[in-house]
Amino acid sequence: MKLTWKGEALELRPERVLHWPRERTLFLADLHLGKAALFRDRGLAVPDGAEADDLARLRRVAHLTGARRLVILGDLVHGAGGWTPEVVEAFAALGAGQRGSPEQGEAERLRVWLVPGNHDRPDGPPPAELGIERVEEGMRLGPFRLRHADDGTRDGVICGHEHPVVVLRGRGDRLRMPCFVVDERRLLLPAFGTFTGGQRVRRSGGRRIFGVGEGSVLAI
Amino acid sequence: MISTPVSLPEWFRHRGWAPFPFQEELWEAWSRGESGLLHAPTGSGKTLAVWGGALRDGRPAEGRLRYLWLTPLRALARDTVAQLEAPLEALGLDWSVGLRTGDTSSHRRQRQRTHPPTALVTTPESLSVLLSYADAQRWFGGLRGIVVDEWHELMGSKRGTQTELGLARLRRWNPGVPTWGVSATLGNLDEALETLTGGAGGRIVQGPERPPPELETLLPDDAGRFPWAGHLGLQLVPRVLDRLDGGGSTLLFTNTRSQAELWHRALADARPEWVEAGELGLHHGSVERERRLEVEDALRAGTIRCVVCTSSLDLGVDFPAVDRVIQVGSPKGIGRLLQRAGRSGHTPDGRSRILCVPTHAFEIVEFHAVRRGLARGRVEPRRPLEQPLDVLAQHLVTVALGGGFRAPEMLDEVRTTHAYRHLSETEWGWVLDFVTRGGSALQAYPRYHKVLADDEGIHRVPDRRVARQHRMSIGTITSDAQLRVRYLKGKTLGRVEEAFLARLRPGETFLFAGRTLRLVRIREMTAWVRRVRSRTASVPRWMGGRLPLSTELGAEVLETLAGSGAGRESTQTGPDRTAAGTNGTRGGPMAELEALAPLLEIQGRWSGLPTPDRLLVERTETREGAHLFVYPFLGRLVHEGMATILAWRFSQAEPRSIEYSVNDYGFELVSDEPLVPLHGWGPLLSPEGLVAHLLEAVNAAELARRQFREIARVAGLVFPGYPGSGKSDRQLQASSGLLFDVLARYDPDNLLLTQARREVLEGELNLRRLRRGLETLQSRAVDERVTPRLTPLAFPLWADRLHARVSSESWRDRVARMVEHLERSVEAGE
Repeated sequence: MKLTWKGEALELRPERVLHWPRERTLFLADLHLGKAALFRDRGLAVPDGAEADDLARLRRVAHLTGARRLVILGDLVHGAGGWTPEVVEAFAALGAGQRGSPEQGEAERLRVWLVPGNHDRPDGPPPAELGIERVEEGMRLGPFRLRHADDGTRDGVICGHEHPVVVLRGRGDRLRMPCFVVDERRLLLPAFGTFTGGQRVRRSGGRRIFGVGEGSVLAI
Repeated sequence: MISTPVSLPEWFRHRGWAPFPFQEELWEAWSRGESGLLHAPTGSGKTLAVWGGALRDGRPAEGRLRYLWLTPLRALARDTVAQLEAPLEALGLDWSVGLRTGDTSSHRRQRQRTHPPTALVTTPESLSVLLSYADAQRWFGGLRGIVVDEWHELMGSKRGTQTELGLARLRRWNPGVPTWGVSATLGNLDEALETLTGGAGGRIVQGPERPPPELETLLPDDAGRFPWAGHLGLQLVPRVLDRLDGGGSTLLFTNTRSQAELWHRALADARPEWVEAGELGLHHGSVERERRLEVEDALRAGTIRCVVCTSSLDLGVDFPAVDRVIQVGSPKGIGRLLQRAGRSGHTPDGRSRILCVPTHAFEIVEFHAVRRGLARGRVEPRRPLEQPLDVLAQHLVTVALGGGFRAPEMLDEVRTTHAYRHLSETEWGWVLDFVTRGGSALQAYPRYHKVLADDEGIHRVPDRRVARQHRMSIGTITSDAQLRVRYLKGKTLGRVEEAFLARLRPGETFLFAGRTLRLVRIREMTAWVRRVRSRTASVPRWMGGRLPLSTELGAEVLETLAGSGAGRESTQTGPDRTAAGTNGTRGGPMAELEALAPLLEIQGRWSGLPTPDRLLVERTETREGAHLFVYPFLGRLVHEGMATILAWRFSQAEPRSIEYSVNDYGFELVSDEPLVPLHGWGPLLSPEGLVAHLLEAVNAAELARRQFREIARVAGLVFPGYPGSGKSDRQLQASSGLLFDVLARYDPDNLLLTQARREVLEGELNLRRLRRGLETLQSRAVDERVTPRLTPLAFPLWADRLHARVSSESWRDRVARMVEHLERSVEAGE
């Protein structure tokens, strides 16, 4: 789904990422890695698989778009102990797959930026060997401001945190899907992680909602 | 004060009572070590009948727990303790009676652990918690008797299954311990006994036979003008007030909490002086416990004139001061009316009386049908649950905490219960795997283990945090997230479902706990409110409010209609004769039929009357399209399934869009073009292919996803959080819907998913009743009528469907217009 916003051509992708082709940049938010593991540690029997699928999806979309910058808008990990060995390993593999061989120049490297979210804080910085660069909440990038949670005032905000979902109802049927929410001032991303809940958003004036279904993005 | 101990019969004599034969029968049986079920209505001396078995034994307690008394309601527990204590001193028994519920202070709990009372009164949930302590066997190992009060109330729910498992555990430690249940009238007492004793059987002791309650129906002055639909019934408030003015104490039962709020408001508006004097009370499950206890105390003291209540007061100890019971709206089941009528019954002739207040015209039929059913002794059964694996998973963790278990012995123990008597090795293996390793999908994660077998093969819970978490989550009743409703000044009024409050904006008003409240703000699970004088307010609608008509009552309604012959009751109809004295009087059976006559006459003239061997089908056309009405009289849940199936089968023959609505009498299908059966009604109503068609027709996955909410909690997949810990456990919050999705994708063989699907088919879609319903219809001849307009039977269905679709204001206008139009047709003699 193509969209022009703040004068830039953007693409809302079904992988739950926002693609900015001119700058070869992907935006995503709310992966909540390690959430299932945390549940299991506390005796709640949640199966895994979702996380591996999420990371595979991330690798695939980075490869398909040829992105050179990955901007993670917060909540990369779920909470205390979120950087489990599984997560570190998986994330390292993601970087390695995209960083290319040493012969390729600095320009071809996949850089990963992280705007820390409320879930990231208790864990301190991600392990140094992953090479993730921390950027401050509210940092400007072109016409955009990178935030985890919307501040409700500034213009051009791209953010996550809210995990928006939209619910469609048919006759006796009900469909719930993550969505992008776009208005004049801000662009809200769906949660990237599969094992994340959602807050229902409703349609209202001046706000456009794009639902993410199986392999496609729909304007609602 | 009696100084020398007396015998139990002497104690009875001192009080001017003589033991009833059934009481002596039970005491004897208990002495011989038998188990069984006492079939007795409330207020018949049932507590003493059972407790007497223990008292006669009278051995010293030796500082150990000897008797366990289970009760479904915390509110009941308090009064039960007092009843059990009453005879102890006179009998010279040095026994103590303890109370243990979720409300018991931690100090007292601690003391009970070290100094057990002789008898403990508790709930199924608290029993589970007690079973989870490491020294449970020592604590419970000396039992001489177990009593399960109001077993009929527990049996049909997951709490009943939890009780079955708990009893199996206690029987293992105390082989042959006498176990007695107390049950009100049920259609399946034998099954109730089997379920209680884990198949061991026992004796059914018949309590005192009571004459059936005397029903009086409050009939509107002009039944012809009485509304054909609606469910509030406030038209009859002035007539009800006439009765209340007479004095005495009255329980006024409504079917839903919303209706209770509205009736309370209507009575308070009419008699503000009663409110001033504290003579008008409100009692339902969402009202704060303190407020409810105040009302109960006033009832006991006889200082209150009228309490508007819901099923919250169905059960429990007697309020001897209550001399009148009023039922607003159809009770939807014969057993329920019997139970409610029994809340009074201190008339000189021992007969309880109940005043029935219809909320719309057809409820007069339902009251009449209840009367018929009662006269024939027809009462609904309640079925125990089959094999809910979530409850078993929870129980295994409980037992692993409470001293641990060895797998083969535990399987034997579990199979002694009625619920799990057919549990297969595979299912057992899966549940065991689920609590130890989280199921097959988690095998790759060695860090996960809730329950772990030690070197000797005993399954235990090694992690203290998991242990604490589990004790917090014990319990099988689930409900929606509830917000506390609290004044800004601090007093808490009760709890309301989040779903209702989420729709309100600050500044809007609502009716709750008998007051009009303005919402100020919602913060941290509390809705802060201020009291206002405003008259207009919305009323919370609680989930699961409406009860479906029981099969038994549905059948009686059909027979009533068939026997009415459009108003003429056949003189041979035996049952009504039993209500002799009141037969011809106002509010008696004849008066009911007279009041109904004009309505049934219109129904008969415009269309026809359904009968037990004729399925009435009506067609009519309006601006909206072609309507098809079908009246099986099998209750709303069955009709929901039938409407779905029929709509799907019609649309398979010819693609089209069909809307439907259902009520307890039938259902309506609406489409642009008339819905005509191409190959007759047979295949459309056939039970053949039922499951496959149903799964095609409904979004079963979505229904199962909703059903999973309860299962996930019971099985310990979600953690409800520590009370008062606020946000600290946020990181462990996941909705059950999300878990369902993750499991469906990454652990599709999880048997809890299978259980959710089964519960949807059996519970929500009511497969068993639906299949039986369709089979019943096979034997009825279809009587198809084309009607010029909506008939009295059709109108409520039409109005309900409209209600679901349009805003309430315009709904009321449209219904009012329609009523006027229909009335004109009646007056014009059409």
